[in-house]
Amino acid sequence: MKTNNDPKYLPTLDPAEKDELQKAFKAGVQKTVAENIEKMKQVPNRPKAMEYFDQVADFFGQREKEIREFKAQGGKVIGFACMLAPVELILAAGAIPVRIDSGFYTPSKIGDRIVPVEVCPVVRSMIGLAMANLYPYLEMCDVIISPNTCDGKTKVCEILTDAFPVWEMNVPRIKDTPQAKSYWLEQVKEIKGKIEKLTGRSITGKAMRTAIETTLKATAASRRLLDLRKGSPLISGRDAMLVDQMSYFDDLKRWTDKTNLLCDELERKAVDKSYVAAEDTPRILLTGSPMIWPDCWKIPNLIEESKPQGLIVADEFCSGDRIYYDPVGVDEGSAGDMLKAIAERYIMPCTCPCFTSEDGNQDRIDKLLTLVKDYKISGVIYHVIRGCHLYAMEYMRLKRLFEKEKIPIYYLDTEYSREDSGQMKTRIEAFLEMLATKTQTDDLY
Amino acid sequence: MLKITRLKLGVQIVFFLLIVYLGYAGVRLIEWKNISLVLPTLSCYYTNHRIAQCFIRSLQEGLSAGWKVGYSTLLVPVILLVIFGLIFGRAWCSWVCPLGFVQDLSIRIRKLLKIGYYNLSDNLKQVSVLVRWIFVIAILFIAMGIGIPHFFLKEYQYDLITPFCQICPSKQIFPFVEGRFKEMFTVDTISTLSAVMSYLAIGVFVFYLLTTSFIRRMWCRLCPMGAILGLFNRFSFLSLRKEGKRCTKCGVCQRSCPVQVTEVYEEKKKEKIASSDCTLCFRCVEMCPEKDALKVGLFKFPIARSKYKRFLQSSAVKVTKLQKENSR
Ligand code: SF4
Ligand code: SF4
Ligand code: SF4
Ligand code: SF4
Repeated sequence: MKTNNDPKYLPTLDPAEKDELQKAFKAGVQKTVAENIEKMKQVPNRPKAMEYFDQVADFFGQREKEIREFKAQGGKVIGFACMLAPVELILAAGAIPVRIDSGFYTPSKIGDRIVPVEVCPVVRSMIGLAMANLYPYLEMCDVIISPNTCDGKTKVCEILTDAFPVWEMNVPRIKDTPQAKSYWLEQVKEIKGKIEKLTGRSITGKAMRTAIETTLKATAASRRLLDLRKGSPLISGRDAMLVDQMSYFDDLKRWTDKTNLLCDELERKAVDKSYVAAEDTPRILLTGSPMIWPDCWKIPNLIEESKPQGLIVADEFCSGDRIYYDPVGVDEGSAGDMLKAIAERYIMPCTCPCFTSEDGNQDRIDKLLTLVKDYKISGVIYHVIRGCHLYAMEYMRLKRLFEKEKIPIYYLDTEYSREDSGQMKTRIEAFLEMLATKTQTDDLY
Repeated sequence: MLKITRLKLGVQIVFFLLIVYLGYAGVRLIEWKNISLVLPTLSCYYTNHRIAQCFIRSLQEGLSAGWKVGYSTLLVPVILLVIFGLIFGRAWCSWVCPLGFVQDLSIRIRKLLKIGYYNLSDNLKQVSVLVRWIFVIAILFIAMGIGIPHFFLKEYQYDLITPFCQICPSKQIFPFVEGRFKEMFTVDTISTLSAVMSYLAIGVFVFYLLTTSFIRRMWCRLCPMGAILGLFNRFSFLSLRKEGKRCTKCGVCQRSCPVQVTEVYEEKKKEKIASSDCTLCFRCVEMCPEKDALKVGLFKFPIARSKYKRFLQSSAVKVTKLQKENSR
């Protein structure tokens, strides 16, 4: 959808060039997707229920058609650029929420025409997608909700205003104060009004209740899957990450059902002891900058295919286990209370480093330490994509604390491109080697 | 899994019936060798056939009777207070106190109507703590003052007898509950002071009525009994416990707390959450979505823990047909 404003950032591309870019993009993405899925299929005893997610993972499939049909009947699609957007309100208005963070490499090169390469590739990639109109899920958005979290996200949405109507949300950087809470609540209320206007449907208490029920069930499914990863290896980390991420644009109710089916299967597999890796495989926790399907599968592929192998059993990514982890906690059923609960759900438990506090994001540290304990983590990989300053800056504090607790932690800085694959491989292998010998020596004593 | 709120409602109803209505079945105020059962709750004297006595009432009566005869009668109530307080802390307030129950009922009615509530600002919260201690000090001062011969308050002993009972909202509510409407709002104009006390009582009651639904447990925040019991929260065997590392600071507990305890959300280091405001209702425990972050403790042992399944069960948004039970 075009806006009337004069373009501030985005140049108009020549239609022929655009066409070419679109074709190349589609072919490239489908190739990467197929390659990644092929790799994931190599995992022994891979759950059958993953087939569904494999299908959704191909962006140009059934789901795209569904949304197009929905739009043809007058339905609205609301994109959001960061997990702080109140999904329940979008659902309550009968619109489809679609998360538009981009994990594509080639569009980031198109984005380079506007912003310098030092800027985070998620942002450059989103710019590329918008500029050449590449990505169906972005193209179908009637509007984009942009919670202004990190610097990149804050500015990219200003750039996107050239192509879409954007509703920005002002995220309070210090979130633990009554002022911040009420400030954020006001923003959520405003977004509610805007969604109502766009969809022509008023978001009643009843509609909100139903929407919250939907996400509570998604949380239940998401936590169920997490629980199953605490014990013996039943599912590869890549599969679990893919499941998490398909909630970006899949129908949430169906996603919940399919995730539950997957969990049923995993429970059976647990009884049969049908594992995806040896039981003593080093257990990896991923944290840091998001890893987004499909091009950021580089690192998880390397981890789980390396020799010695690693198994990703948990992550602390806004692109992963965190997406539907936190529930909307409604104490009383009044509309006002529900709205408050929705608002708080998005900032209060959020461990994103865009928030700052005197205690040094202690909540994130506690969360990670708890994950290490509950998932019996052997080592932590701290992933930073170049240009992601906030995650990079928080590393030192984490490193110090983790070293004190004698938890191996490894800083891995990378890009969207595959050029550094060789180097990444060597580094990951070295870390896993260290973990493997450590487990062995630990076993000896 | 038994829902904490439901269990609590059951316990409250049972105690309400026991304290207020058991007397009608012929059971008299439980007395043994002239010692009566004194509970640290507002189990009001103005119910016809109560089986337990309100501690505040006993306190006032004992002090006013002077040290020769009165103070010795305080021994048993105080010993009972210490024992009950040490074991249960302020849990009396949310599980037993009849006036607490009446307040919960008015909150329940509001909730059914899906009407929102107001919170006290931090400043007003501090004021409420101040007011409850002013009540305690005033009770001690006046009741004791009446009991001291030649002290100036002695002169006003008939106007100021059981001063807190004169203004306590229970004095209007329990006659109402028992259908003795004539006994509500008795205005005594025998002296100016009596009249002042009568109108003060009406004022307090009007305040109670206006706030009871809309500010959750407003009276409890002013109640002198609650103030005294709150002192035991730090030592009580029954307690609210927290595993700070597991807390995501989602703030749900704080929002769910009827008396706006902030420690339950803020505290990350101490294991025991011992705010003197906390009535140990454990709503926070059932509403906390994080496994084991909050616990109901008996001594150090957890007897109930927070988990996602409990959260779903307790949330105001009901989740139907959950595919599989969730253990988190
Ligand atoms: S009026 Fe209040 S203080 Fe007096 S006995 Fe009744 S409840 Fe207790
Ligand atoms: S604070 Fe007072 S009125 Fe409230 S429950 Fe406790 S004893 Fe009863
Ligand atoms: S509800 Fe639980 S997780 Fe949330 S802030 Fe309270 S104690 Fe922490
Ligand atoms: S802190 Fe928890 S137990 Fe205490 S009063 Fe508040 S909700 Fe009840």
